Amino acid sequence: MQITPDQVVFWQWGDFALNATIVHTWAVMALLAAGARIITLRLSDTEKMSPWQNLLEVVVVGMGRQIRDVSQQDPKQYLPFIGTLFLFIAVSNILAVVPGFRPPTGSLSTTTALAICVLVAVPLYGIAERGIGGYLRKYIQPTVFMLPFNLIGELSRTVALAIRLYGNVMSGTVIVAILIGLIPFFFPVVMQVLGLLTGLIQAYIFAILAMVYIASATHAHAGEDNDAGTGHRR
Amino acid sequence: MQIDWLTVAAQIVNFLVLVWLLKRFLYGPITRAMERREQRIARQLQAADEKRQEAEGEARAYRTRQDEFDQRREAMLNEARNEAEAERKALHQTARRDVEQRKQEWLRQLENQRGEFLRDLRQRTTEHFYTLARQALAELADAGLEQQMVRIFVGKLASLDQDTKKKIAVEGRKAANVIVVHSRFELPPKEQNRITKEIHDQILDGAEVAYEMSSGISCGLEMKAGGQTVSWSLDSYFDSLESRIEKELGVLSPSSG
Repeated sequence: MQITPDQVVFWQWGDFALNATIVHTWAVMALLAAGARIITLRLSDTEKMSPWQNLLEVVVVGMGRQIRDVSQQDPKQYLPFIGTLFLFIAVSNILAVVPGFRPPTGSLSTTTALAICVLVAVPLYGIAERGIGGYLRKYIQPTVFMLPFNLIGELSRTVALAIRLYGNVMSGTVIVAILIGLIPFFFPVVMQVLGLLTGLIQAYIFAILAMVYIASATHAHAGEDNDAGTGHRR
Repeated sequence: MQIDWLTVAAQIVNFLVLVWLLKRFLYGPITRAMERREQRIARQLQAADEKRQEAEGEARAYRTRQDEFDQRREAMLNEARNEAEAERKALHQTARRDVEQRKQEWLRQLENQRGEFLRDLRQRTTEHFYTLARQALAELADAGLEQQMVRIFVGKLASLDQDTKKKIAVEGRKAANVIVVHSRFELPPKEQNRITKEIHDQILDGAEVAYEMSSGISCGLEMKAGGQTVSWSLDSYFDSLESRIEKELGVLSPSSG
C-alpha cells in the first residue's frame, strides 16, 4: 500500500518524477482557477447575481471576515495567501471522495511545501509591516537569551503545521483503505464523510494558524503577547 | 514518511502559481465587483439622501412661503378690515353730518316757517281783532274803535309828566314844529282834530300835526317828534298771544324734544 501519493509516479525524467501529488495538485489548481475564471467572467455589480457568484462572494467575504477577526487588520493583503491556502487544502481534501483521487495534502512534501511558504511569508509580512529591525527585535524579546528558543519555536511550529495536516489527511486515507479491506461498503462511507469534515477542519486550522503566525509577526505589541502561547497551544 | 524535496519545490511553485491565479481570477474580480456594488449602493444612498435633503429643503421653502403667504394674507385682511372700519366710520360720520345738516336745515326751515306763520298769524289776528273789536264796540257800546283808541291815547298824552312834554316840545320845534302821528288805518277827521287839539294843549301849541298810516303799527297810535316817541297799541297783547302760541308750537316742535 502506498501511503503517500509521492510514490505514485506517472513519468520519470532523471531525478524528477512526475508523481500523483504534482498531477493532482495541478488538477486542483486547474479546477480552482478555471472555476473562478468562468464564474468571474461575467460578474454582476448589481443586487442581481448568479448563484455561483454569490457562492464565491460568500466564500471570499467569509475568509476575509475570519482574517479580520484574527489579525484585527484589513484582510485585503492577506486574503490571496491565506485564502489560497484554505481553498487549496479544502478542495484537495473534499476531492478525496472522488475515486482514484489522491489528495495532495496527504503528501508530506505538499504540507512541507505549504509550511515552508508560511515560514517564509511570516517574516515577509512582518518586515513589510514593521521593517527589518522591528521584525528581528521580536526574536530577542523579552531578552537576548530567548533568541534560540524563539528560533526553535519558529521552526517547530512550521514542522507541526506540516506534520499535522499530513498526518490527518494521510491517516484518513489510510484508515479508509484499511477499512475497505476489513468492512467493505458501509463503514468506509461513514469514514469518508468524517474525512470530509476533518478535511475542512484541517484546511480551516491550517489557514487560521498561518494567519495567527503572520498576525503575530505584524502586530507590534499585542502580537508579541500572543506569539509563543498561540503557536504552541494549537 | 519521506519528503521528496523536488516535489516540495514543485509544490511551492504550484502553490505560488495558484496564489497568483486565484488573485487574478478570484479575489481581484470578486473584491472589485463587491466594491463597485458598494460604491453604487453608496452612490444611490447618497443620491437618495441628496434627494431627501432637497425635498426637505423644498418642503421647508414651501412651508416658509406658506407662512409668508399666510402672514401677508393676514396683514392684507387686517388692512382691509381697518380700511373697511375707517370707511365705515367715515361714512357713518358723513351720514351723521348729512343728517345733522339736514336736521339743522329742516329746523331752520321750520323756524322760518314758524316765524312766518307767527308773523302771518299776528297780522291776521290783528286784522281780525281790529274788525272784531270795531264790530263789538259798535254793537255793544255804540262806540268806534278809533274813537276809543284816540281817547286812550289822549289820556296817555295828558298823563305825561312835564319833563317828557318839554322834551317832546323841544324835539318838535327842532323838527320844524312837525309832529307825526302814525296809525295803521286812517283816522277820521274828528279824531284827528281831537288829537291835534290835545297836542296843542299839552305839548306844543301851534305845532303842525301830520297823520300817516303805517303797517308797522298793529293796532294803536304812535306820536313822533324828532327822537321822542309816545305810543299806545295792543302790541303787548299780541306779543303775549304770540308768545303763548309760540310756546304751544314749541311743545309740538321736534327741536324741543
